Amino acid sequence: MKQLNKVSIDYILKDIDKEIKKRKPKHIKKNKKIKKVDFKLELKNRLKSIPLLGWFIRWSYNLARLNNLKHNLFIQQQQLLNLTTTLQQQLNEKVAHTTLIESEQKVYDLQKQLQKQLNEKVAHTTLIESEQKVYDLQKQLQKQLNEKVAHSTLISAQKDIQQKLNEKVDIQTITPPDIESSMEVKTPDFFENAQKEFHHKKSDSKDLDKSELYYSLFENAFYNHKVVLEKQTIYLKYIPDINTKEIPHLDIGCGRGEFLNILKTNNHHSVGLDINSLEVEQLKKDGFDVHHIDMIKFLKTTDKNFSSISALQVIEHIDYETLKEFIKLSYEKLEKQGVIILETINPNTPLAFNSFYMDETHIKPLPPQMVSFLLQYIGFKDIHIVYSTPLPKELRNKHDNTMNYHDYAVVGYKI
Amino acid sequence: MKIVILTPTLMPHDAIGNDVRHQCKAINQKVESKIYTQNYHKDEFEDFIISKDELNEIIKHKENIIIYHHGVLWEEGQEILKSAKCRIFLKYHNITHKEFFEPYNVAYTDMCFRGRLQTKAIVDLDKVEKYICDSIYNSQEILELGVSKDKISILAPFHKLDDFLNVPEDKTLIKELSKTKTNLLFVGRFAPNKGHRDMVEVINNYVTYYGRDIMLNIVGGQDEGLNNYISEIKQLIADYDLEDVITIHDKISFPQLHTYYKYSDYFLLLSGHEGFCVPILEAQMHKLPLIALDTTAVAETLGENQLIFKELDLDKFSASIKILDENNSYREYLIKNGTLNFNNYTNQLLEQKLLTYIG
Repeated sequence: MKQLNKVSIDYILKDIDKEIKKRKPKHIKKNKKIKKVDFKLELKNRLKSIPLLGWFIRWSYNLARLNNLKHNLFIQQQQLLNLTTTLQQQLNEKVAHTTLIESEQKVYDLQKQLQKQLNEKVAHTTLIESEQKVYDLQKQLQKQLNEKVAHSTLISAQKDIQQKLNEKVDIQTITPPDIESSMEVKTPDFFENAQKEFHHKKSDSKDLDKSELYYSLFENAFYNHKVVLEKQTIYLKYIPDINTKEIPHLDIGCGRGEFLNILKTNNHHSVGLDINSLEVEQLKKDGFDVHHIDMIKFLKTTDKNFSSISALQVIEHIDYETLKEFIKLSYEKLEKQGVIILETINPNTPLAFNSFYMDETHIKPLPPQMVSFLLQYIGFKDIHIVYSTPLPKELRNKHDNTMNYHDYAVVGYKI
Repeated sequence: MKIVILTPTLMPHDAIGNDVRHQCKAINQKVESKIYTQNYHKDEFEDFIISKDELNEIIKHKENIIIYHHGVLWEEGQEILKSAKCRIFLKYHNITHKEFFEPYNVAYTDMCFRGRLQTKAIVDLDKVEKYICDSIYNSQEILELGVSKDKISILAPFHKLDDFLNVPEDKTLIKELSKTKTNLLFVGRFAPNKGHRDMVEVINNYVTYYGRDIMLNIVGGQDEGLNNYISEIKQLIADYDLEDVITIHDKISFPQLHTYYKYSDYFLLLSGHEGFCVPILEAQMHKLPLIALDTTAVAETLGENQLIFKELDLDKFSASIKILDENNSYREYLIKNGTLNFNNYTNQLLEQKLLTYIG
């Protein structure tokens, strides 16, 4: 045994290494893959098999969960209301120079991102891609300017920008307003407005599937048709021109058909799917090729291939196993060079959680890296994350731009 | 001048709760100090707890001080900080990264995620005069949020280690522990950041080379929200046929905890996230050598000349147990240096430091 004063950590570590070398190699049991015990899922599945009572228990459980979240929801609801009002106001105004500033901001953000990537010694190919993105955005900006802004407005908008730049206004440094210790806000009549939008009265719908009517009204109360229509146009540039009647675009969870409308306007052939029969009926009346069918069932049974597939604000409604199966089937059903676009709520920003929990059919917020990884795992290449719906400037984060957008989409290609 | 300590909950057997209680006692030697909390357990500190109205009155005056303990998401706390006109100190205990909880509990994941966002939001308020961090590791996180160095100090949390001095031993447990040649101990909440899976792997490796005369006692509170995780670890133990050499204990009595510390041979620490680690000091106080993995604030809490590995090399961990078992002088060396480290963290020393910050 060594004397205590001669002992040091190095001594001990050397003896440990000697001991390891001395050992005869033995077979060590390998870590078996553990099956995760998902009690919640198992219980949910069992309840599903019990008619009526099972439905009632699940419904009660969901109701109880909602109560638990009541406090958080209330605070976040106030934030959402403010946010919605601000966004609506901004969109309604459609002032040319606002668009200009926002687009320039996007270009600036991308340039910043590019610079960061350069500093991090990102591979040359990534650099080219990023430059391409900047170039695309600049092109888009130019197009917007040409189309929307009259020459005089442009000059005045540019003057405004110059003035603001000169003043070096940093929106992040503006002191937040003083507020009272409590605040009361009257709730708008969501239900009445939704009925007007959707042209269905609760009283004339006795024969309709109530859950579907409920969801349609909910959608009309909280997801503004015009706003959705406008925001989804950003995905148009990813849709390949190769689609035809035989090899069309597939829009999963087409809802009220905003994206189908955009595609139609731009001469793309498309097929839509949704599990809400009311919305499908309405779209059929409007002349769209839409089907009332579950997406997995459709993808498994259709003999068609597709040039591109979109699922906008859909993947947060499905469980992880279904998500994996959906992406796998989509990959199989896409033509070569085909593209997939999956849009969902951006969990990088806490402000998005209000919208997330607002919809009772949402299951799990999905981080963009996770969805990207899943696409890569299935075989998609050249994956991009497209952040959209910027937050108002006063709510933006100074350090992480991925926190400044309410939604994101993952775009991947079958090469 | 009055000081109010803010914490969302004040419960017994909780590291932040212990810090708050002792802090309140220490400050009261010099300045009147109160506690504001949303939930508390009735004990001798009940008299120090004030109502929201009393709090609102105190934080109106700019000479008063709030010490806000941040270790979990607390929305009301943030609102209080926003409206306060007084001086604000933040005691930063750290919040576990959401990734640990993601596979097991959506609500915990969300709490951790939003808790960390709240840290940033509090920094962005630009009202905090001093950030008092439990460890250098914690202070690094605050620095990364853009806080200047001169606003940051390090002060370990107060603890209740002195309570061990007067607690009886559990004789039945001593007898039980004496049946096994080598007893390993881990104490900490049964949560995914604590490295249970790796501990099982180390024992599996040890058993393969050196036989089954060993026992790992895993002690720590369990909660229903992490049932999936607990089942997963139990399943792993069963898959490796290690049920006879690893025992999981939920809540145990204080004399039992004292006995485990005193009569175990080594403390095995493979935790993946610690803002500070009070069980290290508890082990060192009980002259229990530690074998640890170097993550987050573990190395700095452990101190100099202790057995800590940079990487999770199962062979090294299992061989360490064997080598220490065979060399009494090695064990003595680790115990001697562990005691020296523990002496740096007496509540008396921590009190002196705290009172200089208050001024």
